[in-house]
Amino acid sequence: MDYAELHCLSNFSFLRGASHPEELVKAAIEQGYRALALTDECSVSGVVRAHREAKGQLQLIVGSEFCLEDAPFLLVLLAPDRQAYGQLCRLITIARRRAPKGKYHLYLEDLQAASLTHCLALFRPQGAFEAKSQQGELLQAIFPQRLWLLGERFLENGEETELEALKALAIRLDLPIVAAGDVHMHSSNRQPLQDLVTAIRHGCTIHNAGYRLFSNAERHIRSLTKLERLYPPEWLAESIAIAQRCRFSLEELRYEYPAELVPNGHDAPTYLRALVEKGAQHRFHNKVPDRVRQQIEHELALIRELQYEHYFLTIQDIVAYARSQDILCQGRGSAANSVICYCLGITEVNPTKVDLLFERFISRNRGEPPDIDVDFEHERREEVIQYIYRKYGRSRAALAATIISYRARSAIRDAGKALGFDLAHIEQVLSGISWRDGTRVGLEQIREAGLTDNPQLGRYFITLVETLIGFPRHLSQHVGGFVISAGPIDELVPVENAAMQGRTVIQWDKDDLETLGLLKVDILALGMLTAIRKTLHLIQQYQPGIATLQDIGEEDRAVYKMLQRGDSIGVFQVESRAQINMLPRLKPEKYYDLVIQIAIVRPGPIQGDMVHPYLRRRDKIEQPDIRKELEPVLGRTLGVPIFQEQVIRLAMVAAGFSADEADMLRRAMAAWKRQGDLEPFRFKLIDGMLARGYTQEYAEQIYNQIRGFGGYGFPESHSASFALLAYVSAWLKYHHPAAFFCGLLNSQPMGFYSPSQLIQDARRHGVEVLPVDVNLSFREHSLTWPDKSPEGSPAIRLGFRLVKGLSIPGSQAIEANRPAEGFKDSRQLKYLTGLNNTDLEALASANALSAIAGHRYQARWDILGHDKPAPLLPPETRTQPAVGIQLPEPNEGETLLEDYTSMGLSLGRHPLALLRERGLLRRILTAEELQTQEHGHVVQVAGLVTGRQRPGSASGVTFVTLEDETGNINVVVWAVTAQQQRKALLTSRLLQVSGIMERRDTVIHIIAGRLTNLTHLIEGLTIPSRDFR
Amino acid sequence: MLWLYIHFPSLQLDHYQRAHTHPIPVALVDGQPPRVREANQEARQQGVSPEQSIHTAASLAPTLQLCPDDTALQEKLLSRLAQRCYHYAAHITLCPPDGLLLEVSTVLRLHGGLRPLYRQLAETFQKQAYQAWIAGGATPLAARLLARNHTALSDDPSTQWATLRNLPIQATDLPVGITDRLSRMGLRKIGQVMDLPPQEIAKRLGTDVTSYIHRLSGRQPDPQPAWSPPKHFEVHLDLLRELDTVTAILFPLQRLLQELADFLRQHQLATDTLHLNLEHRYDSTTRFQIRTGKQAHNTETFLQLCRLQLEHHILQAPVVRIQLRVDRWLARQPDATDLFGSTASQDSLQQALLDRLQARLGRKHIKRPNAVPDHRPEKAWQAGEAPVKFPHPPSQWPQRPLWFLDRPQPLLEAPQDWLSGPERLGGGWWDGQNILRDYYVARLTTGRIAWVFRQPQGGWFIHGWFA
Repeated sequence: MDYAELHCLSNFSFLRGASHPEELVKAAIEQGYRALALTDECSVSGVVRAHREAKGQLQLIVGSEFCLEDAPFLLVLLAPDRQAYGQLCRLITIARRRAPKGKYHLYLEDLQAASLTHCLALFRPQGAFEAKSQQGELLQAIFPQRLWLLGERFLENGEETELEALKALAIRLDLPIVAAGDVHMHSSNRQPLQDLVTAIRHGCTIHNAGYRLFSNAERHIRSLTKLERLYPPEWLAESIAIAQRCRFSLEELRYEYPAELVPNGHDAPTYLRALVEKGAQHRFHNKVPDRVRQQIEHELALIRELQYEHYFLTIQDIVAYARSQDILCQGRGSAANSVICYCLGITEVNPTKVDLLFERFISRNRGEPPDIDVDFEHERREEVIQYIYRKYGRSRAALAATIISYRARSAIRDAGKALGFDLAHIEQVLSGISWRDGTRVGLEQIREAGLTDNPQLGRYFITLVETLIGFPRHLSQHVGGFVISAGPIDELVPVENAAMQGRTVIQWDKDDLETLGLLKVDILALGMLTAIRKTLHLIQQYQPGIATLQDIGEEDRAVYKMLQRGDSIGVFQVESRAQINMLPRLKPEKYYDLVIQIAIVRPGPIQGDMVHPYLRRRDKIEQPDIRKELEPVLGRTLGVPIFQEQVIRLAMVAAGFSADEADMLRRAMAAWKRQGDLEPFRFKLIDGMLARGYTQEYAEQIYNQIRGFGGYGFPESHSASFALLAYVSAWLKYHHPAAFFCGLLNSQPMGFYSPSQLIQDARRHGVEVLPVDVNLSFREHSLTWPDKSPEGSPAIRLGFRLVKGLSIPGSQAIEANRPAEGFKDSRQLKYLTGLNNTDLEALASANALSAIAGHRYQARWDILGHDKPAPLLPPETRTQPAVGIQLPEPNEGETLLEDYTSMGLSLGRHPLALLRERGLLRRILTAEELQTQEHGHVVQVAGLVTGRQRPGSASGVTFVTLEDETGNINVVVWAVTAQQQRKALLTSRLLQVSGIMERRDTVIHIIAGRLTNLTHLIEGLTIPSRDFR
Repeated sequence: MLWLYIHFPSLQLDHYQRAHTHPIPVALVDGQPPRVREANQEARQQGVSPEQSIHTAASLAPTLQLCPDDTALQEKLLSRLAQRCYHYAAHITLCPPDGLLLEVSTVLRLHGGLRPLYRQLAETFQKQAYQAWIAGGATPLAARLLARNHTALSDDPSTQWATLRNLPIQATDLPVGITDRLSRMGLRKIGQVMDLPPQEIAKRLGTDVTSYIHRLSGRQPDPQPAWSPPKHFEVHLDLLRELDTVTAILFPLQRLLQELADFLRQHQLATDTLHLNLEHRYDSTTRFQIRTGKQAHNTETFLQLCRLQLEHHILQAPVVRIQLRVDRWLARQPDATDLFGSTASQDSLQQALLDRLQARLGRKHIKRPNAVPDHRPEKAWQAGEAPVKFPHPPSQWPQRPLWFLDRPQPLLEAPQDWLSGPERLGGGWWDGQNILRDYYVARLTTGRIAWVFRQPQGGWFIHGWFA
């Protein structure tokens, strides 16, 4: 007997289906089904996954199930060919686009209006016999000769009667009946989970879900024997007949490129060649070296062979637009690091300067599409996106989806709620769990903590949560992955609404696109590009020679020297505390060192223990021992795999993985955190390496490094682009600190540090920072020359953007209406600008009125006292209040308080300086004084707690950053200390630490001994401290 | 006028603590995501403090008990505490969620001055295990601020004022926006604001601020609504002549019920519970509790229910006194009267029948089957005390036999006909009573139609009979 299941929901029918598409496909193969139609409710989000699983083993039919708003029947549409598939996608798009995110509205009218001429339709009528009959007639008109009645049996109450009615209806309408299973899960074992998601969907508990649950577990992939007993043979045969009519496969979807990019007289290859040629002449000043010439030819040939011209042209077009608008951008990814991309202006990484990246340009082996991500200035990325929409139209450009799945926390919350657990209790237990060591360990802790005293439920709970983790919950928009098509995109894949107003996403994510070999362009936002562009603009004011990235001096030793000192606050990618600590040890002295630096200080390499071997070899303490065939793979990193690409290549070269197997390994690594283990690859890897003569020990070591990498591996092709920006920002910081910090401050929020920390660092670098002044500041922070000579070093004049509560129109009004000689007094300010009281008060409290209205208390009081301007009376004629009330001036503590409250920072003295002056911090060393202390000494330090990284309650250490008037102090608190002094550790805003000085090179840590909470001291100063949790 | 304000800084937490002999760390949480709103001393000692996330709180104090902030409970506690104070002051005002205001000038002499009164009150609350901060002041607001800020008690007006003036502006009840603006003009103390010309403040911050300051200083009256203790209805009739039959009691009882009905009308209230005590000669009492299914407020309803309950009662001794007490009050719902003046719907007739049956047989003796939406037959109904309201039947109940067997019986013979089935029922994993059965409707050789099932582990059972 043969059977094709034509009505099957996966967990992409959110909170209805209880199995992954892959599981359903596997089960259908196991049961010997001839075909499976995945018919998720108004969605094809799961079909690509099913397609990947079914490839070559099972016929997969694409379909979708619908409930209409104005008709009671249930409708399943199937796509027998490419046209039908396009029609189905369009219908889904129509229904989805008019409903809020995650919902759909479909009306009878749509079925009549939309062209569904190729779709096959199955339906389950509803209601009394006459009503059913009418529904059938209606659908017959829309789907002539393409309509079936769904014959579905679930062993439910009253089923016999229903089936009799169905047979009668079939005769009355002269319609065939097809057997189907309304499958919701791959196995009956999923019934508890199906019940659970049903309860979650209805927002009730499992105990009062009642008849909202199915009465049994029949909606699974049932065995053929069972189906044979349940259905008449002709119904079963009909399913095969339908399946045979379906010839469409997702393989047929080819990316059809937008044609408009190629001008008349050109075809894509010649046009690309022309552009590359032009770029090459520009980049190499009309003297293209032979080596470059060869490489260009090689790359062009490869592109020709794989027909990727349009892809490069598309990206070139976007980048050219950005350049025309003076928006900085920088490409990254394997294909980005090519001579061609350098010539096309997609990347600034000069291939002649760094010659080791280009072997992995595009993989010829698989149909892997080229991978280029382009970063744009974060404040202006929207302009680029709007350009794409303008150029290709909304019907041809859309964002890829990101599928948001259940993670441990959300699964525990939702499942716990549905099982009726106490919500506060769930939160409380969750708060004590550390997920650092993986989901399994976390769940084990939940089991121990016990969420319920009902052992039955407790047992089910963990299993349910484990299964629920990884279930899709909703579609969100990808950070910037665009799909651009030649024809209407909604005939390629359905489009639905995203949460953001006016944004839409397609129903597939990045992996789905990759599986199908569809191209996407990643348009990403990067704050550092904004900062760099703003910095370059500022430098223009006094050194017009430096206008673009090309004008920045290459491989400047002084810049590297600065980085080697760990002086990198504000520098792209290497400004985190971990990076700052590593800089003096890795001592980068050339561009490629930065590429490594960026990739190595990450959880993957750190957990895989790659840092120390690399350091030892670099410092020549240990000789790298690299076999000849691995030299090209590992040579440049001294035998230690640091980049993701190396791991993949290693598996191929050393263990004989095929390209496809290596790709599976890459996917498994990416999903490692979520889905458990790389165990299946272990034997293959180790056996493969042993067979090629590697030692067991070495093979094990490599495997462990790969495992440690899991999910965190950083690709070299991305690191290379980042390293360039790291170098550029370091160069700007070293040579033009005032412009650099000003640019950074104008690009906030971004990076690791707050404006307060950035300004402190700027001042430590000798940059003068001037306060906000209503007569001298602009909206943005600006450069100014205090000694009026442009040769002198510039100072930063803080801008209005720092003043909390001051509106953008408010600061614009000040700039627009400010007299050349400035405002005379607050009254004039008010009348000339028309600022409202909120804006004026914000300015007063930020002390921006000090030049015209006295101290901030007085300014605030006076400014509120001015009457509303009467339109007919010029301000001069109005009488002043008879007696002015004089308010007392704020003291230094109050000034600090006001500074922090209104701007988040102060240019006044640091709170710690005030406390020290008052003799409250005796025998406590400053960050500066620490520099001269010796390793191993016991020291006392204190500072505002500006960072408290708590990697987990159970294991590991807590890193605390203290800030005093001279700098930052890094404190390491071991778990035991943290445990014993939890209160001081967690609640202090001003913390005193006595501990042991630890020094390695120039890196200083204090290993905490006793922690003392000194918060009361700053409260005494009436100085706030931000809680930097 | 002299006002006394009592602030309960941890009303709900103290209430929880009272049930425990050993102090345990407790915190109130509210908000989403939940944050600590209040923590008791034990919790505070471990570092728990308001505004913390429960994540932080729970890592500071692993044994911390978390309770939701419960305003309804707080209000109930507050009025209970107000009853305690009724003894000390006639004019009491509730200041939810955590304060009481007492007007004490009239009773000061009675208690021997402010300090003795304060002592007595403090003792009262201490015995009750409630923390209470008490302060006196010349205006309600002054007393409130002094108490809420836990200042030392003083009976000297000038000291009170001095303390008050020195309080931070945040201690007032002014909105945060206002106090923030004041303190950002350097005006950090109440006194500083009081010293400024009111019209200048009003111009800058609005008249709400000046009005508040005026009420605080007493320049503007600040009337306080008086709290009154819960209503209480208790009447009795001493009988001049002993009565020895129930029927004889009904007549005087009618009078009492009439009084009750008048009381209910005056207060626009209704009730559903009467306490009727018949006191006998020789100091014994027979007590009745008479309940109605629906709220009631007229004499006839009450009388009929009393009659039904008393009818079958045999008096053990002659009655000398009848006492009627009501302490449960319901807000009165207007009768729905249709156009023709008829108020008796089908529903209320049914209800009336139920009331009467219950009154006659006793509430416990009336059970009715209730349908429960559950696929498992055993769980699909339950016998409950007669509910006050009939649930409306859901539209699609599965077909089930009318006669459902408490315990399935083995099926001993092969049925003559299989009429329908199988219907597979599976589920109930969540409470450990999961089932997996195939049900059939079958005609047995006796001609009876049975509901039978089979389990995967084998065996046939009869679970019910169809009519």
